Amino acid sequence: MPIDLNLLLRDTLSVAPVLIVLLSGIVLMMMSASKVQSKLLPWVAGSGYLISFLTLTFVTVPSASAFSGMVNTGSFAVVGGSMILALAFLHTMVSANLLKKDGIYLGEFYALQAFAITGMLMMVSANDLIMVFIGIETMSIPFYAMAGLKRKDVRSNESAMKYFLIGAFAAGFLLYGIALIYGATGTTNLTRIADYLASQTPGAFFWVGIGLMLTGFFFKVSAVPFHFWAPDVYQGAPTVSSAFLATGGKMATFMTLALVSMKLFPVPSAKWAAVVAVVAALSMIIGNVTALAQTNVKRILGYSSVAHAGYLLLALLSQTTDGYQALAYYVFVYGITTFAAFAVVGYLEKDGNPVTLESLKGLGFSHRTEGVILTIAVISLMGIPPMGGFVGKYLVFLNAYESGHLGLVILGVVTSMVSIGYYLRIILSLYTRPESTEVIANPAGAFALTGLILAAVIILVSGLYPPVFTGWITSLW
Amino acid sequence: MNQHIDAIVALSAILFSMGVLGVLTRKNAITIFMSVELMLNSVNLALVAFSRLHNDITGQMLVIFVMAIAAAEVAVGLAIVISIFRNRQTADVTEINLLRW
Repeated sequence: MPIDLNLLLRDTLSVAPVLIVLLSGIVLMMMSASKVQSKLLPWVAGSGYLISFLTLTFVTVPSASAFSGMVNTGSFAVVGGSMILALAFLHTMVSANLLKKDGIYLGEFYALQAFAITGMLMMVSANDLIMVFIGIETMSIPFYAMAGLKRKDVRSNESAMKYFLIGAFAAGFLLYGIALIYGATGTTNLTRIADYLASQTPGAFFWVGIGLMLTGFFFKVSAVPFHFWAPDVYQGAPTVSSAFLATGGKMATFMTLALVSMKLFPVPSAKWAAVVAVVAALSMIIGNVTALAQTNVKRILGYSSVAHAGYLLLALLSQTTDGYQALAYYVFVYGITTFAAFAVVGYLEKDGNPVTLESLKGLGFSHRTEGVILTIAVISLMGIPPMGGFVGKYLVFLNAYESGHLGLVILGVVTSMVSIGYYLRIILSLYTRPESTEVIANPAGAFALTGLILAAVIILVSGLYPPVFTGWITSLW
Repeated sequence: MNQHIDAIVALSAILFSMGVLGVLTRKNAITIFMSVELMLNSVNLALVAFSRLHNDITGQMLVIFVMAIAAAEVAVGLAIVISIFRNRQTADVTEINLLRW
């Protein structure tokens, strides 16, 4: 078969944003191998993400398939990709000082992060289960390493090993699911599987495949009963890594799950919804209730990520465009919020000691800006107006209600009430005078503070004037 | 060949279950990891069989990717096990339990 060079060039250009991030990852790796000033590294990483973001959003690529139907450019890929890149950019602004504080070499971290983002961008532009699988693994393998970057710290080691073993286990399920779907339908292309489903009724084989694939996804998004690794990993990993694992990974995996659901089931499938509904209910209950018993702030955020996985799964129930858009909005706001919370916790850490509700006491007075940002983030996680988290929850609950899942919506509202119990304790700790007046001074630095303030502004704007972001999502869809 | 597809898929399902059981019951991190590899390779077997059944090359193409990804996973995974072994002198997952509630 002759190779059509024009086609190859067109296809390559249409995935330019992914290639830019990949290239910046390679450059970062080379720079860290040579003796370049490590101050330069965050600038290279940040500009790579910025250029990729600008290419993705301003160079309009028509919604088309490339690489013989493996990749879909435009619309969904732009929504998913730009939220991931925006998060990555903010993370780069904030992370340099955190990495220095933790004694992690900058080059390793930024190169791994760039490769992980390459995988995420591949995932959200996938049109084939093979691309989904390769994207998830390209994201996950750097993640395992990022969790273990503090090589001398046993907690970091342990979290990396747990993450790695569970992640590889989950990949096995995902892959076996893909293999069975391929066996039942004879193709891995999402569009062609949907065509197959439209023309004939799939047998048990297909549904077992879907079930195994969903199991793999549930592991990756830390939904109950496959959640047990998440709090351990987010607690043990260096905070600067957790701030990315818990947010970027969730954004990319949920967007991909939405993508798979959207492509496979243009006609809503009751079987799919039934499984998702059970897992969503369990995640909301167990995530929120277990979080009440925690005192370590990173661990609370870990359980909160389990709970939020439940809310996000609610948006997948209706299998309508509205539902997917609500999910995109929720996961974007959730990602930015959790990122801000983890980053502030990272700056409040001292000498690698964990931040507990006890050690937070009084920090709201000594670190005013950081305290206010953490408060904004936590209020948004509770889902209380005027923060973005409220609008996200409102959209998701509204959609689930309209598709007839009233019971789950009530459960969601009740568990949100429960979640106030542990989120409020974080804020109360921040603004309680400690008995001892030993104040930890750990200024974040102007650059990192700008990044944190930007995140806080996004949370506030998405809550006060949601059309900025909902309009952006619908205009691209 | 095509009449044996059922048998091959059944074999791959058995291998996959053995892998899952190994992950759930073994204690040594390396053995768990070998069980994960067994799971991935059982998938390869199924994919090749399905590829033959449908007379379609996609399955065999995916097998190549799976092998490459499994190799990358080995590289990172063994590095993690080595770093934990240096600090703790053990690779037993039941003894590595600092993080729990």
